[in-house]
Amino acid sequence: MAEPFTAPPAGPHDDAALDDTALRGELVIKERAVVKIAVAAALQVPGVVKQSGGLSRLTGRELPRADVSTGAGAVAINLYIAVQWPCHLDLVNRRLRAQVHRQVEQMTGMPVIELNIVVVGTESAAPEDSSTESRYSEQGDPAVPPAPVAPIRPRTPRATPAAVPAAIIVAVGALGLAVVAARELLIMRGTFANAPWIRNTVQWLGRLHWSEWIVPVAAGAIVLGVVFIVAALKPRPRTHLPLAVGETPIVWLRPTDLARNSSSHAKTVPGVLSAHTTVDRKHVTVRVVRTESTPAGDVAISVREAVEPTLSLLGTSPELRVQVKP
Amino acid sequence: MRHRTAAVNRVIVLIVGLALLGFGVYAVAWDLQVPIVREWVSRYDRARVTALPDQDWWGWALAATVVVGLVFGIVLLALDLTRRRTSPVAVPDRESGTYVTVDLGSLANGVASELAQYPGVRQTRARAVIERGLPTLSIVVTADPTLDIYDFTRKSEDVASWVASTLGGEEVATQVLLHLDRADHPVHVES
Repeated sequence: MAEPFTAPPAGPHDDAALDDTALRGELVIKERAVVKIAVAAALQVPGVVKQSGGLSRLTGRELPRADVSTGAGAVAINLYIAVQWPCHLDLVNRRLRAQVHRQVEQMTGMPVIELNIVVVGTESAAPEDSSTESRYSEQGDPAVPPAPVAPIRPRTPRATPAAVPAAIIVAVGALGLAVVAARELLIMRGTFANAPWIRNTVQWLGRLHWSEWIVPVAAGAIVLGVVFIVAALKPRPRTHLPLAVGETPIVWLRPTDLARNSSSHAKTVPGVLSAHTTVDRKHVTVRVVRTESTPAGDVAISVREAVEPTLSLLGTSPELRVQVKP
Repeated sequence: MRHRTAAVNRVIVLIVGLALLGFGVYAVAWDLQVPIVREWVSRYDRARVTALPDQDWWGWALAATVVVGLVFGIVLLALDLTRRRTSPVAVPDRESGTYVTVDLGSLANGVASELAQYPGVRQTRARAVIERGLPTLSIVVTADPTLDIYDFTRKSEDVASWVASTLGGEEVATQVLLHLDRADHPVHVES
């Protein structure tokens, strides 16, 4: 916030006094004032939106917000903003820089030597605003339509490695061992008196001879060891199938969801009472129950026509089987 | 999960598995009186094992066990149970030569909120993760089973193309995991 002028009141007879710099007083611009100027400037840029929820208001994390440091007659600003999605980030960046530089320099007289813009929030445009195409184009520069860029191919979704649960068990075991060892140390130091479990175990091992119980324990260790080795070496199975209209698969579907979609489309076919689909690596099998009045051949063709468009998106092209029962 | 984390997990589990298997096989071979194992057992110095806790270094060994066990356990749990956040991405503006820094999580939220407006979509969840070394905007979409998958896929590819365009060629992927409600229990969505 700007400090009030401390200069004496001006009057017609005070012109000479105003020329005397020693008597003019001093204008102090606090960083909070620069913050408000920067935030107000940011909100004037198309595409920058205000985000303030209940919690963010309490914690002071509203957007846009700014961290400002002033010194040597210059300003450095870190500006955190939320943008309306979709947006051209480079265009928003350019407009925002121009606006903040201009506003801060005009209102404070200090140049902005550093402006870091960080996008930390997005807000989607209301669905009724317009179609996808127009929403995209109105955000950008009409003279420069966004060039279509091939998206990066995401990694194939895979299940969590089987080694992870085993590794967590090992980690918990290591922590347990550490706790028991710490307890043993405290007992050794006389902090408290109790049975020293590790010492007793080592001494018991020294006296150990063959016993019948060793066989089941050994068998258990072998089974657990094999399970751990399999978990360590097992490849991560794929969990989703890729769907692609263009070159790069962006949407991925689980086999069970493919079955659900196929069944729901099959059910829309006239004459189908119920439908059930199973999906494996090479086949999609749709089993439908038809009404008695509908010919089985017609139902099979219609079901095939209803289901095939989705299957055509799969890169694997599984064989579609339609089984019709009365 | 990162390649290195997965490799660390696999190596640790493999070592523990081999140790368990070795112990079990040794004990069974002892029971079966395999000659070489019987010889090893006969060399077992019981007095020396019993005297181990009385050695000068026993306390230090316990202290080392505490430190190593704690560090090993905590690091391994942290690797497996915490999701690695993506770093912010600096998007260049070639015209002005400046950068804007983008938090990928917020970008994922934007993509998710856009997909949430598609007819038939009931719920979306967004996160930005490093998937095997590749920063990825991962959106899980839950939708009605009657969803027009062809059109939804095309729309998602448009959105992904837009993300790639606005990020100025940064190596960030967009992935939409489409989950459908059961066909016999569709949740009707007002659209």
